[in-house]
Amino acid sequence: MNGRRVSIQERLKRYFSLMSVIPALILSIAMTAYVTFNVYNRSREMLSGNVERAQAELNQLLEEAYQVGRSVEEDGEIRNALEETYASEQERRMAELTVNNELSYISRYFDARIEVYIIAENGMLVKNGRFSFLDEDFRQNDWYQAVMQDNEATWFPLSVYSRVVRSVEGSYATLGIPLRTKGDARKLGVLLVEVQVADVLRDMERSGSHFYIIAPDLEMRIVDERVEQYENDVITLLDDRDIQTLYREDDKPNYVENTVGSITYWREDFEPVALRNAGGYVLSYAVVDTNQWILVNCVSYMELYGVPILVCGLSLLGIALLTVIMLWASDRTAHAVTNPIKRLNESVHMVGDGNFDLDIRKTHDDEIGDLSDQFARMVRKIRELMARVIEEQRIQRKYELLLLQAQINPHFLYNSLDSIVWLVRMRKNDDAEIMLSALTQFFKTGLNRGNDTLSLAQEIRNVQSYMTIQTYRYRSKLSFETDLDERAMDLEVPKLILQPLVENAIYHGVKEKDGPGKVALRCREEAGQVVIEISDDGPGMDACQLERLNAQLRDDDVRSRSSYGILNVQERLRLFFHENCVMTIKSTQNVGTCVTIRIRVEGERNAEPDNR
Amino acid sequence: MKKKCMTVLTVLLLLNTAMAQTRVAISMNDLSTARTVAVASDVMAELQAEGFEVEIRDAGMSLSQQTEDIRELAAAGPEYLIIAPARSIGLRDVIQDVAAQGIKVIMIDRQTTDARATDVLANLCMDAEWAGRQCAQILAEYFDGRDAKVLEFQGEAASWSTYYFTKGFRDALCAYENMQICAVLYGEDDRQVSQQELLKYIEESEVAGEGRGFDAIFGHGDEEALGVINAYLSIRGMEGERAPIVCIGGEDDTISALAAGQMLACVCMPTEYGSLVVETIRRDMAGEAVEREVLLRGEVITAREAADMRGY
Repeated sequence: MNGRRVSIQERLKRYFSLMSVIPALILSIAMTAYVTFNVYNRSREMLSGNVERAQAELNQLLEEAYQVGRSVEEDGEIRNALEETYASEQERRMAELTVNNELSYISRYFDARIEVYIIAENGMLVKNGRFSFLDEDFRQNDWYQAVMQDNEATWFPLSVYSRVVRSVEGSYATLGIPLRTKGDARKLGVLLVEVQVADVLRDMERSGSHFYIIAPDLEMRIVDERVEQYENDVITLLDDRDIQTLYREDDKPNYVENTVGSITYWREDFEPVALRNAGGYVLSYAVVDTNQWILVNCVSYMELYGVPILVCGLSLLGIALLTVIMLWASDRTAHAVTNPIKRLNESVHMVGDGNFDLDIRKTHDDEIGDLSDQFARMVRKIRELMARVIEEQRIQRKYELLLLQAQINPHFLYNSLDSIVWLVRMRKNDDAEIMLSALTQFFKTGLNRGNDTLSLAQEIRNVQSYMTIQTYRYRSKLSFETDLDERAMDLEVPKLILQPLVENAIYHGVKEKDGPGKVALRCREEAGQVVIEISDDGPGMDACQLERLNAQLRDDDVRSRSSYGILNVQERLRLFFHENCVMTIKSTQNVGTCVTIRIRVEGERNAEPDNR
Repeated sequence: MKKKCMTVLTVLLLLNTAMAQTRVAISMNDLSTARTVAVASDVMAELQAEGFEVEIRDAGMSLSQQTEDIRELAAAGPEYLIIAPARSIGLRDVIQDVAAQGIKVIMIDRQTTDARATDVLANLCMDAEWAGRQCAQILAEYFDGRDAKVLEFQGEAASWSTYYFTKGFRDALCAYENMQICAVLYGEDDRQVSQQELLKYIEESEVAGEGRGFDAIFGHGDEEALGVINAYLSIRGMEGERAPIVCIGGEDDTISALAAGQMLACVCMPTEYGSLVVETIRRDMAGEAVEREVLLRGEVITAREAADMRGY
């Protein structure tokens, strides 16, 4: 019992809170770990995978473009057509149609995105695609001259438009192959193979990422140990829908500048496929073997990790919310469990402090509710008992007062003394003495040295003293007889219980009767009961009057003034003997009235009466 | 007089300023053929030359993509939207939505048959029916009353242009009792498909003992005509039996084929919508009446004219 007292509610709250917070913590840690080790790595792997796939596809396409070029270069029919000199426009156009057809056949076995054009020295313009040639003499162009001079296949820098046909804006990768006769190496023209790289990039593009190609020239420039963009570098950038071709002087997006600054590409050290971070972006890049382009897939941190972070954040928010809800639920549960106990406890304390006027209600239909219910019943019973005790005490005090009044009834005393005075005047000193002795005896017995109880014999003596006085007063009109069973004389009874009954018999019985009357007091013991009867031979009561009186006795209606004496007696007997005493009245009109008191004495003799 | 000149100059200045700020969006049905590139290039060049701010989208012949394109373009709030529809039906809702936003719509090349007239500022379309009629007349003149079986090579299936090419051709052919359509093949706007279809047809006809089975070919497009020529080239010894070819189109290859004597004639379809679009916008901005329906016709090219020209 040492230490701070912790309530059940507080303990329950702690346990529930722990049970809520610990799983939430474990879940959030697990989620963070999962995002860190799984999603993070997978995102990076996916980024690398994207660029590797793109690299493989571009490699294959460019390799195919090269193969197409070589196949066309080696085609004898095409060579023959190119070596011819055509006398007329019609002949030349016919030859173009024939070679076009041949080109279509050859290119049918290669990727459909590859377009082949031949610009021949003999004026032929041949193609396998649908777009029309630009209206210019290509033989005068720099690229044409450069290809013829190099005498080998060359990849040109990326261009926004096709070099030879009317096309839409895009990014064209062009391979130039010089065509010469086999024997004397006479110039035949230039074979161009064009691939719309934008289409390839667009096919590879993933949502949220930027694909672009850096096409470097052959010279390197390193400043401060970092590669700067080359003079002739071209960057083809794919961003959502737009394809742009950027040159050195163009304003480039930050991530392009960062990439150029970050990637160090010289043949010896450059990793073929790599992943690195640069300026808030994750770059995965790979070198396209065919023409040494650098293919870059660039994703910002937010784009790459945005969704996992968002998911993680939302999950953590959800967990936090869940934790709050669980804490709240824990608090509510703890309250729900302990509040009835708490209320019951408070009620017990209040009852303990003497407050029995509580309204304890059964609020829950459970064990605590049952307990509350039982406690409420107990409190109610105590309250009733206490009320009864208080009422009994009140009544007892009242009767004590009445008793005291009876003991010193001034009217009776005045009448008695007046009778004695008359006896003395009439020189009946003996009678006066007897009456005075009886009066003395009556008061002496009534006071009984302050005791509230006395034996039945003493009580009967008191009645006899009273009747002695009354017979002197009423002379021949009143007679009194007794029939006493000695066995009952020891019974202890409250004092002055018979005198009011005898007084009633005189005032309501004999006094109302014409002629002499008789009051009788009988006492006997029968069947474990002491039976005391006080009877008169007065006018008696009619049935209605008798019923009302008996009803007042049944209901203990002490407020009735008319039967005050008899009810007073019954109440005192009940206070003394409880349910062991019964008082009944029988009356017959013109015959008389008899009040019977039955006191069970079998157990009574062994038990201690309350007021003894 | 001086005052009038000043007023005119002021109006022109204001008009020019307004045009310089005007944004025009273009939704092209496709940019993968020489013709559509020529149409788009001409419109863009003309608009940019007038100082309009132009944005273009390519739907790749997809109706759903074009619907999306139109919505995206309209979201940028251009004053005018030029649409070369991928299909003649299916754009009604999006055109209505765009028109409800106060954007003026100009249809070019093909028209959408289900668009309400009130939603569209102008329809600047090719006269496809006229082109079909011209082809029939060229063949009628060539055969000059001789009996002839014509093989019709249709292009894009169930399209607006196919319908009107066919209608014009057949309506005109009704006037010539000596000519009849012996078969209809489908080239799908692809020369290789056309070539294969013709070779298959010839083979089946020869097996049936009907010779090659046709005396002339009417191609709905360049690709059908060029596919036929490629089929001719792939069959040795057929030079003397080649049936004359007429087609609707005008690509560079077709012109070359004409110049090479491989075709009878080509009805070139117009691609120069740019100046008409600019004129329409200019009139609308000036509050002048705009001609709602303009049908553009091309020209008939034969070998003689083709020698000195190139296609689009």
